[in-house]
Amino acid sequence: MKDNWESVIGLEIHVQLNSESKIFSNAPTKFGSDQNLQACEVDLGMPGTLPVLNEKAIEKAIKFGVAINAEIAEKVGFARKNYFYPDLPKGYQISQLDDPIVGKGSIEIQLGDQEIKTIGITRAHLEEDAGKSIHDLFENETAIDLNRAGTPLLEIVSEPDMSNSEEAVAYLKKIHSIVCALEISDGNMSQGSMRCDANVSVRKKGEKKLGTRTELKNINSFKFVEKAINFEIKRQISCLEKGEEIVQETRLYDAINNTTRSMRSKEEANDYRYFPEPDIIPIQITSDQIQKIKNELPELPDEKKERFINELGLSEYDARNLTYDLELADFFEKTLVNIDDPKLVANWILGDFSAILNKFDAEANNSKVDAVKFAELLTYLKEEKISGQATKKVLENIWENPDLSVSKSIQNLGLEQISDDNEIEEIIEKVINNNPDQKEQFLSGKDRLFGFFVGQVMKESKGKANPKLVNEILKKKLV
Amino acid sequence: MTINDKTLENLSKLSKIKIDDNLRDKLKEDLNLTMNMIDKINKIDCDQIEELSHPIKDNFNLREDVVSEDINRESLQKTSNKTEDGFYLVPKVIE
Amino acid sequence: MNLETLTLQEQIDGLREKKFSSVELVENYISVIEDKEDLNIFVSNDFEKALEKAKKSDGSKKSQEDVPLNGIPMVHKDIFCTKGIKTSCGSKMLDNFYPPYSATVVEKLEQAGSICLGKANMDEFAMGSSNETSFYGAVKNPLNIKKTPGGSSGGSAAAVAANFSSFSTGTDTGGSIRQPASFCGIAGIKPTYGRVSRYGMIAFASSLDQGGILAKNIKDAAIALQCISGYDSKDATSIKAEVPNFSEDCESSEFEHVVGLVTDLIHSFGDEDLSKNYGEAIERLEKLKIKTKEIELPNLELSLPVYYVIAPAECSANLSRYDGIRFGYRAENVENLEDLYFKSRGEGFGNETKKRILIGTYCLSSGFYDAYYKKAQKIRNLISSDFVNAFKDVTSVMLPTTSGEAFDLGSITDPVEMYKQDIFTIPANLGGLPATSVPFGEKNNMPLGIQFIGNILEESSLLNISNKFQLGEK
Repeated sequence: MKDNWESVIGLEIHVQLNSESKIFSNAPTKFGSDQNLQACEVDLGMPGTLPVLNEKAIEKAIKFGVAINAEIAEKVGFARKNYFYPDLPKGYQISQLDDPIVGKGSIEIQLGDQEIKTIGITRAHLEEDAGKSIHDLFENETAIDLNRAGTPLLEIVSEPDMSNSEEAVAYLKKIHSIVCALEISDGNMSQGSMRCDANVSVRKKGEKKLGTRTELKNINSFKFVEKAINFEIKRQISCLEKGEEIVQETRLYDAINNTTRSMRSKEEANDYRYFPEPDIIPIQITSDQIQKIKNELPELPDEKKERFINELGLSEYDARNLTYDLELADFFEKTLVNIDDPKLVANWILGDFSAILNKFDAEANNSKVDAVKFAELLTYLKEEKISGQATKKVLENIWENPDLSVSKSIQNLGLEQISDDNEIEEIIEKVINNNPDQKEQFLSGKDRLFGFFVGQVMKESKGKANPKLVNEILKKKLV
Repeated sequence: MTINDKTLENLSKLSKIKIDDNLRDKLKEDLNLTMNMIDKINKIDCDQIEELSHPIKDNFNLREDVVSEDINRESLQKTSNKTEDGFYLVPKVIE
Repeated sequence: MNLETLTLQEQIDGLREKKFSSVELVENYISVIEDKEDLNIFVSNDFEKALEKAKKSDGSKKSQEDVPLNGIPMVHKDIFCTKGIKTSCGSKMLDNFYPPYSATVVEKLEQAGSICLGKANMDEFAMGSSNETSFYGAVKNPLNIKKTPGGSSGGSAAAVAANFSSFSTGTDTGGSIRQPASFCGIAGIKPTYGRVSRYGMIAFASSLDQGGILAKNIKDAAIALQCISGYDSKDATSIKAEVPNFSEDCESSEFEHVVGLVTDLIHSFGDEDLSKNYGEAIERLEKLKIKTKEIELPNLELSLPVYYVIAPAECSANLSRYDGIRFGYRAENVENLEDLYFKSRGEGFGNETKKRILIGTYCLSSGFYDAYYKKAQKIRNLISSDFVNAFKDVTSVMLPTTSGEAFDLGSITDPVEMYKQDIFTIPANLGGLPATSVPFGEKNNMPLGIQFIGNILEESSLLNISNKFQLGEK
């Protein structure tokens, strides 16, 4: 971003709560059902049907509020948000306006080594999800599937406290890890159980007044959040520098072209004509209820992070990254059951293990290499029976061949580490003798060439030589 | 007149109801007569009073999180005359 | 045997004592109904099915306790969803609607053993006071076919008055049970808001609607009310209170009454006949040695404008679901989605319905919400508080049901004149209070009615005073 500009970002996150039934009806919420098999008459808005609030939705919302240290409303009322769209069966959405169940709260984020930054959360409220409109199924018609209509949503609104896309992603990840830790949602952005809209504006550095903001929609991954925001910031700066004004509007993110474009159909500002929902008597929440939920709260990501630092000796950086993804943290702890070396395990999980998950598009909880096997592999490494390089190769090998044991894999690949001093000495002598010029250069001061020799030794030993020993012995020999 | 042609046009748009030309004038007249009667409430000062949105306030009801419906899509969709493959159909929307 | 003139209680006794059968009752009604088709009371009926059910109930061995209305024919207002049976709500919009579920009120009455003879005509979407806004044409008052039976439960009231059944179900949002009861010379009761489940009862104004009963007399109304009352988990506004024995209570001698009167207010209307009828009602109370007390309801006159903000506002949202996509009328030859909405709703809704939706939309729209909707809900609070205060000193409040007798069909074209029909009935809906109408008095050879309003959940006391008053004996 150009130096004289700064950006202001707020995120609206919609989290689908994982109750068994919908927020206002007892139809199921399971993902993946065939069209309209999970839409009952209440969801369809049929004449005479009425909404009745799911007690779990209240409970899950309170859990979230407690986790972000927010005020929980004593009286929880709902409101009708009126607009017409085919995937909104009643012609209004039951949402909350004036008495959101969760009030002001905050969470903390940290980028790299920078200071911890507090991001404010304005409110979080309950509402029902709409159905889906599918435009490309039939030639002349749009198909409507109302399975999703009535799924409980928790809409989390942040303060405009973020200044760049990295902070936005960090915030999003934090919220994601909290809702997963609380087990109130599976937070799956690709399946739509967590959705993110971004409000973006720019202004000259130092300017107090907020610029006109645009709302970005259709962002369905952490990566796209970053890209969409970055594109939009650039676009707005470019507009303003040309002397154009920013139009307050909703823009759709186009992941294929990495652009945002104006949503023409929503140009006119909607008059939602909110009014209190008469079919739902406001719920009263007691302090006992809240206390009970507080007492039963599971370990939150920040608490887990502290525990990893204080009890397991991990660095702040490692602990933070492990606890962003709770499945990863879980895998980490399961691995520790069979190998007592938190730092080693953390390094490998954040490094090569994550890389493999990425490569094969997998999650830690459906890893082809389970925690027990992983611990076994790392034990071989710890006992210096295989080298670091070898561990990498074996990991990929046992991932692709789940029936293979760790030892068999090492054997097949011939990766047993050479840790015998004599053997290594032999190889080193061979390498030194084969490279007299480099030996001379090293001895006359080109220290960098030490690496060359190490490389040659590793090459000669087909990667099997114990690097630590190679270093030691090479040092002795190259004098 | 509180409700003029422009207001009526806007209300028609908000409520998605087509107003036939031959009804427009009578409709405006009736609506204004009604608003006239309603405007009596303007004179009342009740800044300190709370709204009463629910006549019976304290008996809120919640539902257990249990799936109980056996949803019969065929039976539910009998009331619509434009479905295909279990989808409801509307004219194509371009977003 | 003129079985059709029997009261509900007489029919229950008669069936139990095997004086006649349910089949005979139904056959009797069918011939009466077929004779009086010109009253236009039914939107639909299924006599074959009714006879089948009657046969079954005649052969049933179930006890009266389990099935208190076993074999009793009745009529449902066509606002209650009846599974597999057309439910039109008096509108072209639902002319083709056959709900796949039944209203709780319908299920309860079925479980009680009653037999539905048909679905009664009504003002479209319950909006009206004369049954003239129905897509199926006006219902005629059985006492004088040139006159309206009232509305919106016009068909339900006419059915009882014409001896199509001993009782019928109705709904009351601003007076739609009580006013037609008064116009047709029968009794009607609207219970406490939340006493009767609204599930499957097509919504007009959610915070005002209540299902209730129209019958020949208060005792009959009490019997039927008992069967439809009670907590329903499918309606979040439903009250969990136990249902007392209304039919016993309405005849009990254990209730002490102090009836609140608003004589000055009535006189302030400057209508001689209105004042006279109210005066005579007070005389009857005195004859019955029932204590009375003058009370103040200072904000009563604001009920009308408040109602005509709140009801249209709520209905404008409740009727947004009618778009022809999942059910209901769907316009042909539409070019795009917007067209589908505009035309389906433009062609499916009648004029009064359109008016109310537009008014409601206006009162909720940006810039007007505070001045209209919010303000109306505040004044609603004031009106409700007036009653809360009154009930500190009295056990019920007596008002006229309407300001006059049934008027000629087609005679009222000024919408506000029509709305004024509800001036006395609206307050009870605003406060969620139970209220009855009891036939009393006459004007131009048409019946008038007197209204009693009770405190929240005090239907027993209310039915008791209403019954005493109707019987005219202590």
